[in-house]
Amino acid sequence: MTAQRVRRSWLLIPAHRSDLVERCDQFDADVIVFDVEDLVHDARKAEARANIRPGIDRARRRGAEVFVRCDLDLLYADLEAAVWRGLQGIILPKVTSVEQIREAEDLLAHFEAERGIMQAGLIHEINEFDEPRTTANSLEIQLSLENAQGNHAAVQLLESSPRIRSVSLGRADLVMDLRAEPDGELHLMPFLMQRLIVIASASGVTPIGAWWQANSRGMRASPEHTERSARLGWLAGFKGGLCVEPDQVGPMNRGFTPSEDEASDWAEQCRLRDVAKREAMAWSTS
Amino acid sequence: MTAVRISAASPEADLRAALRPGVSTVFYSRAESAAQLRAADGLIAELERLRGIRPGTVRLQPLIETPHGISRVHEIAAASKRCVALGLGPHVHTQLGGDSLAYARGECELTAHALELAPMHIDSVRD
Repeated sequence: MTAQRVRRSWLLIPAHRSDLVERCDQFDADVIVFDVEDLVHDARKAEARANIRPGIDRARRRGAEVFVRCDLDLLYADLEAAVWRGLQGIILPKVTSVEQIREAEDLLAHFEAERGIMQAGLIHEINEFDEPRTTANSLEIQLSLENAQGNHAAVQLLESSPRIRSVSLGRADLVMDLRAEPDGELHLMPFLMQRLIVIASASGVTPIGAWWQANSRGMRASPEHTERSARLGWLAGFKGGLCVEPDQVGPMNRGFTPSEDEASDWAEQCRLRDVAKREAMAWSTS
Repeated sequence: MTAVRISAASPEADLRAALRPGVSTVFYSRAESAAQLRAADGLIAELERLRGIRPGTVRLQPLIETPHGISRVHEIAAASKRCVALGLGPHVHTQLGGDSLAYARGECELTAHALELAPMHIDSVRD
């Protein structure tokens, strides 16, 4: 098993927004997530899918990793558009059953084999494309648990595929499924976040999420709220979080980087990641 | 909203050529059997999957236009969940007239009510 990747900031970009896709390498995110799910209206799905392949090249130019968030209903078309060299994996939202994960695995395997795709290496990593296919170099899956059913079945879902290497909660959808309190906050959220960390650790996958609190407006929080949520998320056990605004990326990266005095192997890895991204940026602009 | 009308003579070729994202309704002209509708339903499901159209969203409306169609209208209309409206198509005028046309219209409307579908009657198609 390779060392855990440093993925502090996961920036969701609606893939039909060509203006954002074209600038996605400038946002300094550890991971760029091209979304073809909820942030894209059905009428614009085709455009969004067409932007993914050039977007992957653009994002990787400065060292970001790339994921695509797919729609379970439209999985074939979304994966057909997404599985290209440079992709690290996909986010599967609203998962409720093992069958859905099987379908995604089958489609990933199909397009990987047809197109000769393996998980891309990071800068400084040597990537041999004649290596045999293994779990470690296959495209990975992040599960996003966005409803009561998915959260209830979390252990079974997480252990259903070796491709699953991280897990997150979809806060906005959970609020719709579980009904928010009158103040707009989901009182189950702290419980679900802590439970996610326990289950993820037990299943050997990485928990992704920030410690969003009432009125911080989740993924659209201000930079200050974001940094505090990321910091608290780090302390609670999360390893990175999703956001939708480019100005949340810096706070995410800072919040999930341990301070000097809590020096650890993870802090060193974070430092190396930042160096690698800076070097990639220098090469791509020189 | 865009609808396409496919021919009973070449439903598969027509669907493959015409069913793209943005098409919301398929009219099946001269529908005469439930098997035709089931086959079209299956192909639409496959094309939805391959072409990134949300599953189950494309509607399939049989156009009842022939004596065979009229005699089997209930099973035709019940053959696909994609069918939400039912009625005669423009071609019926070349086949029936007078009392038999009135009967056909009534038969379709009755079936539509029985199956809780919207009654519809397309009189003519603009060239």
